[in-house]
Amino acid sequence: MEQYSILVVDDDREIVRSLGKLLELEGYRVLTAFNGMEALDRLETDTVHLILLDVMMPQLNGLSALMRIRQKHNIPVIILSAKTEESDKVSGLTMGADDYVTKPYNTAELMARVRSQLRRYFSLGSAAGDGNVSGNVLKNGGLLLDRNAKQLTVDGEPVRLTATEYKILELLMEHPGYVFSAEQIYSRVWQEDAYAGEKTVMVHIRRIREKIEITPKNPKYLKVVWGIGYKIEKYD
Amino acid sequence: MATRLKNMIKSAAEKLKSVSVWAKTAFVLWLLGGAVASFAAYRFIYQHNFYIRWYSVSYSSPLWATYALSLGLLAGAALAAYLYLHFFRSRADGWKKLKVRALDQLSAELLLAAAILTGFLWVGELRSVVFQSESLAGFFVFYGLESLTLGCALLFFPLALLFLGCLILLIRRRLLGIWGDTSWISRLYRRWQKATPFEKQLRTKYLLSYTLMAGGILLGIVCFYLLSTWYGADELIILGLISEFLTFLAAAWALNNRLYTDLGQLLGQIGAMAGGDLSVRTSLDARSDLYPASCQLGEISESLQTILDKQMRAERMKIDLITNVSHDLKTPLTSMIGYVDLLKQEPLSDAAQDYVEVLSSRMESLKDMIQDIFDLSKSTSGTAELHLETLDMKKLLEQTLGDMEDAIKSSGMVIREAMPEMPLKFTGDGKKMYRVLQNLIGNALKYSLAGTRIYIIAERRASQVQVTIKNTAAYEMDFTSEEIMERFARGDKSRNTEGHGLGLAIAESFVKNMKGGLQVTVDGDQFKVQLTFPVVEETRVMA
Repeated sequence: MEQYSILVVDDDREIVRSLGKLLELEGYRVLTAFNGMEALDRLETDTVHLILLDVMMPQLNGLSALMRIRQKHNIPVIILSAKTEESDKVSGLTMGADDYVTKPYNTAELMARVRSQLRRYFSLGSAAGDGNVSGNVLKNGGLLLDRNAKQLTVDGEPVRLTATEYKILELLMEHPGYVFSAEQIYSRVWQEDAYAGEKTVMVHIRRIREKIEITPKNPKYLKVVWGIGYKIEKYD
Repeated sequence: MATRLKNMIKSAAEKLKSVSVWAKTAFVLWLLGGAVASFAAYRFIYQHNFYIRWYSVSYSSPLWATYALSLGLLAGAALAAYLYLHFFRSRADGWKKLKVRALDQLSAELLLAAAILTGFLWVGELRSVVFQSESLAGFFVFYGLESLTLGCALLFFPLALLFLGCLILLIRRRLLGIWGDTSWISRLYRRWQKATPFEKQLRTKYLLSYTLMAGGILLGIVCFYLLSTWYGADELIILGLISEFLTFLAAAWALNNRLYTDLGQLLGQIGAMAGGDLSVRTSLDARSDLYPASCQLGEISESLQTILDKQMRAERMKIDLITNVSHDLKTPLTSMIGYVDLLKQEPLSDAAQDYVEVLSSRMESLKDMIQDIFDLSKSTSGTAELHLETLDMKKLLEQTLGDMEDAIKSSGMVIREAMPEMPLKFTGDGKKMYRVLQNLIGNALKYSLAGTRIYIIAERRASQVQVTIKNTAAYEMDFTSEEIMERFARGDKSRNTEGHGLGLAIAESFVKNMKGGLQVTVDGDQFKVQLTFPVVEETRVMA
């Protein structure tokens, strides 16, 4: 297997050092930079497969650096930031980041996210492309639902779902971004008139989330719209 | 029939008994005075005509004596009444029993006018008999002396009663001490004293025009009246026309003043200010009576804007500070977590591994706490982002309970829910509401006595969506509901349980931002949290 190079950009040297060490333990080659300008220089001279980018940095901040990076490179970028506001996440993702992880991060979670991004970009790039054309495959971000095989893969990894979970996910993935109420999900999936209640649906949603999300408490795909319903967040 | 009449008389007698002696005396005196005075008048007219017609003796002394007697009796009756009341008043506080009756509310000026009018009529009517001019009394005399009795009964007796009645009422008023309250002039004067300088200014300004108007109208009436009797006087026509023209001018000036327009503009300015527009300045003419007020309002706007700007700046600085501090706390914590994770992968002794685990879990809670402090600060400063939507409290509760299923199961607590059939729509931020409910239910799970039940009741109360979460505490709650709401307050003072005590404070702050209410009640061992939100009436059913 090819060794991936990861560029860690942060003005705090201890973060860079500890994170670099952890990544090396995972088997990645680590490159470091301490501000946006250095990061851009690194990209010029080295092959980089993924960037872990801090936002608040001197000289050239993360978001500006991201804009410049996106002009030339299409590699995955994960923003690491102490800013936890929803608006910060939205602005980061709209500027072209692939993921947004808040500091202080959980190491295992961050590693999982790095893995997931790398898999999506370098292992299944072509496979996903083919699948998207065929009508029997639903694709949303790293989620791939093969309706013929009734099989779900998350970033290329197969996930085992129960029949009910599969039906719920299929319904939601058919209409990404659309908010379904529990009643709607219940009537379509269980196909019974008697509505067993919000909680039944919620419990299933939670189980699915535990299977497909890296951090079920902070889901990327399957989101609860509190007080309204459920939806699958739409990704390219 | 007879018995009914008897009863009526009986009850009337009963009522009469309850009337005070003084009132009875006054009533009898009143009637007596009227009768005596009118009899004196009768005697006067009779004698006068007697002398004139049959003896042709004019103006003899007995005639004047009776004239004087009739007037004297009238005046004397009044004086007697006054003196009686005067002494009555000084005696034994009996007068204090006087009560203010409907007649006492009549205007004092009206009474005075009535007394003067009836007095003048009395004197005038008597005089008219002497001078044989046309008058009511003369009318009776015209039909012969025999009709005089009737004339006196119908004219002089009521006149005397009215006059005396007015006097008695005026005296009562003095006794009651309500002269000032019932007098128009006195009330006007009092109002004038209480008037603000602005009101005085306006009233004096327009007094001239109103007086001119009244004078002009009167003059006009007089002129046109004379015109109708004195035909063809050009001067009068001109005078009448001029006075009417002046009246018109005065009226035009009084009515066409800009006060109402200006007042409307001033109210508009106040309205704009109340609506949040602090940039409105006066649009009134500098000569307007309301110009100073409008200018002052503008100044208030201006200083308010300055204060608001200052406060906004301070608020923004505070937020920046919080953001920076939390960033500065998070950065070292991030590398600490990184190194602890690296340590975990090193070969360590069992004890060292144990220490690293403790470090790791403490750092996790420190991380949560920093985030909670940040969220709380943002929320209490009112700068937290809110994504308000119409939510269904029922769904929200079910979703939260479903989401927390594992925590509920592992806590061993039983949750009893009571929800209505109908949705409970309200306006709120879904994610924040989830956090609120999660905190409240989490607290209930954490602090409940094993084996007790947690009650969650959602209902609609009038125009409010209300959620009640009740649980029985495992610890003695030696705190008030106010104390528990404070930051870092915890259900158990010994701090044995997990958590840092920000949950309730965060919940309260979030709810407040969403215009809801959170109330905590501690009743013995029962801990109760109540959430209230204004209900959103459903206008359409979502597909």
